[in-house]
Amino acid sequence: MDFDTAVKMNIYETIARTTQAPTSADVAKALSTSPEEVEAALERLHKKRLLVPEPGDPSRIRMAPPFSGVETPFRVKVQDKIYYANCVWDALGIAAALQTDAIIEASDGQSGEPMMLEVRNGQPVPEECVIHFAVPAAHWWDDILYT
Amino acid sequence: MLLFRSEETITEWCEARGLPKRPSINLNQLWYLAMTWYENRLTVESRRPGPDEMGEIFARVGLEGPFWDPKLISGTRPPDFDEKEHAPLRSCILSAPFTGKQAIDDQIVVVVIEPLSLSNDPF
Repeated sequence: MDFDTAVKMNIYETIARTTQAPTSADVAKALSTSPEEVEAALERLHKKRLLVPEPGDPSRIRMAPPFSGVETPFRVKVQDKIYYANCVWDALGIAAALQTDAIIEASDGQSGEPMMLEVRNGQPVPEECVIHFAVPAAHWWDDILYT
Repeated sequence: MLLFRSEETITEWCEARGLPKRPSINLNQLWYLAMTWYENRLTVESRRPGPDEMGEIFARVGLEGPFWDPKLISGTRPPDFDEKEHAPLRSCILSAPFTGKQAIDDQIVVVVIEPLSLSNDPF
């Protein structure tokens, strides 16, 4: 396994286990390297569109899709754990990545009405909802935090 | 992308922001995309789908046309591609006195100035 893949795997394994994104210092300690080496790997992984470092703070991870490194309006309950997703796509993505049942707490983007989605036995439970894309696919990564 | 209860609330959301209404998908389509993108994300060999794969994945759930074409960014745009329709939203620095409407290139952007908020809502 190359270094960048080891960094990526450590990050994902840490989030899956703890629900929290590790810092570059956490990853460096786990891999017996320096935070600077890890931050360089984060930047390379960002260029591959696999991770997004926190803007202005390369020691922290903002997005490790489908997971968010910060709290968001998309809460995903898996057994006794709460994960945060970057968007509703990623909220379902957490259930897909962890290959588990999940309950997603979200809300209507306009009215704020609480909405709940559920993934059970590998399928979403039918729910009256619709998902709107404001940005064309070719431009999603122009500003992925907005998308 | 955002979750809505109905097409009606999408319309209200777009009108409130002066944005065009763009494509929406249903829960089963989104689940297929989520599975395809992330099912193997915690494995060593996981990777993000490339542009060609993305187009094929979208087509499998009926998402076709310029809006869903990830390769448009590479310059392979069809003759009828509408640059204005697919232009990304841009931010701008407002100059005083600000009248509530400002032209950026040939786009008109209406900006509503609200008190600073710590909301997580990126919109």
